Amino acid sequence: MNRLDAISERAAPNPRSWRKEEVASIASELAPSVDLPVRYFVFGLAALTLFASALPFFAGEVLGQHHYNHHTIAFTHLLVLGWIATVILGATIQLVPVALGVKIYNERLIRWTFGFHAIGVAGMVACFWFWNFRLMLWFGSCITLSFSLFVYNIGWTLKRVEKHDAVSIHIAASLAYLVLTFLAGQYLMHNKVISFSPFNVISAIHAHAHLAALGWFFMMIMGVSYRLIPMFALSSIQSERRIWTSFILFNAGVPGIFFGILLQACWLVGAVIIVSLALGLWAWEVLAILKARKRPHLDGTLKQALVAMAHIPALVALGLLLSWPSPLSAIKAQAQTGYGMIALLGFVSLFVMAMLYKIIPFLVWYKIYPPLIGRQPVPKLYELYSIPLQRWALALFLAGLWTTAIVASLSTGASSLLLTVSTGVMGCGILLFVVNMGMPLSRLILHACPLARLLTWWNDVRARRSAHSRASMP
Amino acid sequence: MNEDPSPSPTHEQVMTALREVIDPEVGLNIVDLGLIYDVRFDGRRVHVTFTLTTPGCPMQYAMAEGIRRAVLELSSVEDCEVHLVWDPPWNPSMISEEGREILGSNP
Repeated sequence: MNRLDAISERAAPNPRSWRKEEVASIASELAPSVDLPVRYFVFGLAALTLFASALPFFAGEVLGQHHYNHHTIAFTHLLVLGWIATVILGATIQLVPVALGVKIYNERLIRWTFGFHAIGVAGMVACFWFWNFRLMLWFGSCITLSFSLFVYNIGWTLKRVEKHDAVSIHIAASLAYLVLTFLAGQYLMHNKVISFSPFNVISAIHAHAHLAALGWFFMMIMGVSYRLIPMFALSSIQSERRIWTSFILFNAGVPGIFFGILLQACWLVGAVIIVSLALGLWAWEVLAILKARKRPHLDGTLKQALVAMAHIPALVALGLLLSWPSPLSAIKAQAQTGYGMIALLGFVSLFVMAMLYKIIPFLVWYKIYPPLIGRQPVPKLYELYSIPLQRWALALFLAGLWTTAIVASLSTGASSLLLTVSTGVMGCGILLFVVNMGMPLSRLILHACPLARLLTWWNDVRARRSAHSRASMP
Repeated sequence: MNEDPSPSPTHEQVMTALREVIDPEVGLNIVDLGLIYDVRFDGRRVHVTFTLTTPGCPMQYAMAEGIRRAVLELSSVEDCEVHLVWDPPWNPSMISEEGREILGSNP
């Protein structure tokens, strides 16, 4: 009995079957409409473009002095809410059905969610820039409404999952941290208007930022990596025990970090060590998955994900240094800027960018090419963007990021010119990434254009004719 | 005498046609990727049993249609029915030797 026979003997007796009339109308039961995640990605890329283009002009002010100033907070929220949060929301909408095999609970609600999100983010960043907290309450409420609708929608979607696994539990936990993050944000906003908080304002802001970055972003990245990395590397999970130990440690450590920062407690360093151990176990599992891969070479996405992960040791070292019980010095305050940059740009943004090299081309491919499968050659995902451009984007981004992080961390009032140049180099890397993502996205625009559709149809007819003539040849 | 002018399709012809269908993410055809579990013939009607690398993959309908279209490109095939199964689940050891070589040359 050959391998195929052995498999076919084991194949399920009641498979999902398609005949002509069913297959003719392609309508996915699970995947959301492509335009839903794409609108989040386009908004996120626009926010990232604005961040990368504007930062060099304000680099001296934003990065060369203490970060509690309105322009630094505006840039941080443009990056965190406009780029990272927006793209993670879009990716969640796309990945939850794929990773967990359930349909999104309410797709129409996502359109409303996006509307509130876009208005809220644009307004909030502008309010931080002009330091108008009364107006910000309205835009902050838009974001709170958007996040609430999102959590409600994805929460009900997760409830439909028949068998929960590490991925679904990580996503559920990250949603819980998202709720806590926007509640903490509301608390801070209201406190700016009617001062009532007994906590130190800077400590409260830092606690809020860690809740968002660690609880929401890191948790989501860790969760989806357990599905995406094996999928992209053609590998499998290596140790469930390692995954669950990492999950438990992480969830023990993150509340510790939040309250440790908020209360300026001496045990903060202990919580940092626990989270560092959790991150170490996660990285160990990812490396084990990659080591067991069947794909001979690591592609650009996986290499970039590894580069993002390589920032974790630096992040842990800075985290330990900053959490060590010692008086706050000017150098320590500046090092917080470098720490934030390495966390949000070096790890989170770079990892998200790596995943977008797979997600956006896939969405475009899925929208345009399925009707051509079996009729004519269709492009592979990596043919929808430029691999050399990806390499240049990564090199410029890393050079700019590390120079900026080191210069900003080492001295108060660091050279504005040097910061302008280094953020300019990082910005060029980011803009190359945006251009690379624009390549597949532009195909969507062309696809919607009637002339392009006519050309596609004509190519299709030609391909069918040539296939028929090949088949009729003796 | 009512004689069928074209011969019945062969297993080899169907597998060759199926090699035209690629998994766009992996960049490998579905035969060498090990996604085709079974091909059976009922006269000039073909039944293809296949799987995908991930349950819940949104490409299941697109791949099913692609498989059906690729097989129907053969003039000897009258109809094609495709069946998607998840048992046994696909795993990377199902990739053929040729598939691994192709994967090695992909960027």
